[in-house]
Amino acid sequence: MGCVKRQGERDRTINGSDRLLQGFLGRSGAGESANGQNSGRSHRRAEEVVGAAILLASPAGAYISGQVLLVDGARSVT
Amino acid sequence: MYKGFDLSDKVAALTGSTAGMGFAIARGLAQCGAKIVVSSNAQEDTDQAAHALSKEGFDVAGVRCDITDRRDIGQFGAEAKRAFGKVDILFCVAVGPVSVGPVHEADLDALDNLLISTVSSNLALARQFLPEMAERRYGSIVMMSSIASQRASPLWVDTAPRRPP
Repeated sequence: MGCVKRQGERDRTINGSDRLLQGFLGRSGAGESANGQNSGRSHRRAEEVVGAAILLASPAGAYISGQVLLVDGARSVT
Repeated sequence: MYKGFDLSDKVAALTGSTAGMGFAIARGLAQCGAKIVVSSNAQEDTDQAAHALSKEGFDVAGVRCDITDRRDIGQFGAEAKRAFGKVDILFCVAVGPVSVGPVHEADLDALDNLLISTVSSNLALARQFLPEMAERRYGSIVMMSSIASQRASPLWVDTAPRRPP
């Protein structure tokens, strides 16, 4: 997941995942996971999800179906 | 060079793609050669994002879509396909209003609306494109969710059921 820029007030329905992430980062602090542990990633940017997105969207990922790909900057292993 | 990431003959439509991760993904797909349809619920934001990517030299169209509105979803499907003649890739990034808090304090109507906007609406979106993808025997549908749906939290109980695999 990447760090995101703030959405406008009228931007009510777009990028809900981003807003959730912002809330998450706001509560736990940049570089820390939900339980306060450091994920080892001090910078999170929106661009960090792009590689996984391209894989899933492209012919390179054509043999991947019905999977959940966790893109969390190592949060799940800390 | 490996051609698996070449999207030069592909068209991608993305909801919630005028800022943040959605916009970054739209740009990344465009950099791989895809034609892009960007979208948000605000016309101005949609136009600005389309203009920004167009200035970078990409083939881009902007189609406004409020995914909490079923009519918008139908219109988005039609206009996205009309923009470049087809849609090969659908990215569902947008979600409706998200309430944060413990479930016993959550508004039940808000929970219903959350499920509609994050699950039903995206399935409705997929229905717009699936038949033609199947006919062409090519297509990719990606639904983005939140780490909140993977990791339980007392603050995000109502977001946990979002978007089943």
